[in-house]
Amino acid sequence: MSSYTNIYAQKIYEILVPLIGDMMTKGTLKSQAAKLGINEESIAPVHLPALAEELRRGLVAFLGSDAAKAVASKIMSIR
Amino acid sequence: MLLIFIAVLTVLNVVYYLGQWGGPSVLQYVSDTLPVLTSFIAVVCLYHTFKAFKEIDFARVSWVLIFIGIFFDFLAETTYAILEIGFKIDMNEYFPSLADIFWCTAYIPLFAGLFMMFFGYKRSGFPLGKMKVYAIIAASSFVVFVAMAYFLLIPILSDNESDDITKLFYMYYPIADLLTVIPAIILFYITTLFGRAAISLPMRMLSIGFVCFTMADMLYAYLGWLDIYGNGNLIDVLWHVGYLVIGLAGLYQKELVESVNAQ
Repeated sequence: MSSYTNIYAQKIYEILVPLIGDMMTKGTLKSQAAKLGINEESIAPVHLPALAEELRRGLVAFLGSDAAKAVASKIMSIR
Repeated sequence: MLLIFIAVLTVLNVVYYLGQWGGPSVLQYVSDTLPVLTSFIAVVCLYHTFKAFKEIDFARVSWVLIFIGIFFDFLAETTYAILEIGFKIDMNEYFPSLADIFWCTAYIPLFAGLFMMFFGYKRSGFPLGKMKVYAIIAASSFVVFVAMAYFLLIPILSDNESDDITKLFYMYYPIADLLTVIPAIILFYITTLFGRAAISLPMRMLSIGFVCFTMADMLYAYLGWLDIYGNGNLIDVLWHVGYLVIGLAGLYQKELVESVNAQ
């Protein structure tokens, strides 16, 4: 299991990896962070809503809206 | 549990078809009721699958379409069994029948469901993988189509002993199968991008189910046209396994959605 020194990135990773796997989680975190103009190690609480929303949209195809929202809520509530 | 059931039923099915104990009438009964049973199990599983989704969205609609398609398959299998066992009709001579109309109809929602799954995935923003793989799938599909046309479709078209309706139905199945299996294979490839993650299992099992159907249908089209398909042919096992694996895919999907919602 990979780990990030950034606690938010690590917690998002731990939420997503059982669902979409290690490679896809790392790739998704990297690409979504890049969209926000940051890298994974710079994720801060202010970025969580945008990240959660993008990940929610991505997961709808597999989990449906309800379950995708549940995952997004978990990400939003990371402290 | 369903996985164990699939394994046990497959072994029993193969063993019985090889032994054919009880004679032709028992064989016919087993051969006609097994697909009814397996398709019914798949229908029940898929019903519970789409009920697990609370909102109407791409994912739910995809699984509803798969459910509708498999339900039509169940109607087809049941009709076939009733005609052959109940009305003692020789279904090798009575082709196409009402059962074939149900089977042919089933392909439409099945294709639509698979296509929606792929389209929903494409919208997700997740990577599609290597374009080279899609090119290989496209090229392979073309080769299969050409081989199918040469060995199956053209001989069927050239056959003067069958009427046009019969020829149409004989040709419909392999073409519809090819059109259905292509998105199934693409979805299988997509699942490989996720490794062994939870999200990949339902689609992977769904793809395997449709590949089983396609293999069985293509073999059936060939054997049926040569008039050498009969009760107890081992290709039936592919249909039975196909139904059960599709049902299993639905249960995995249901389990995934419910486990995420429960967290």
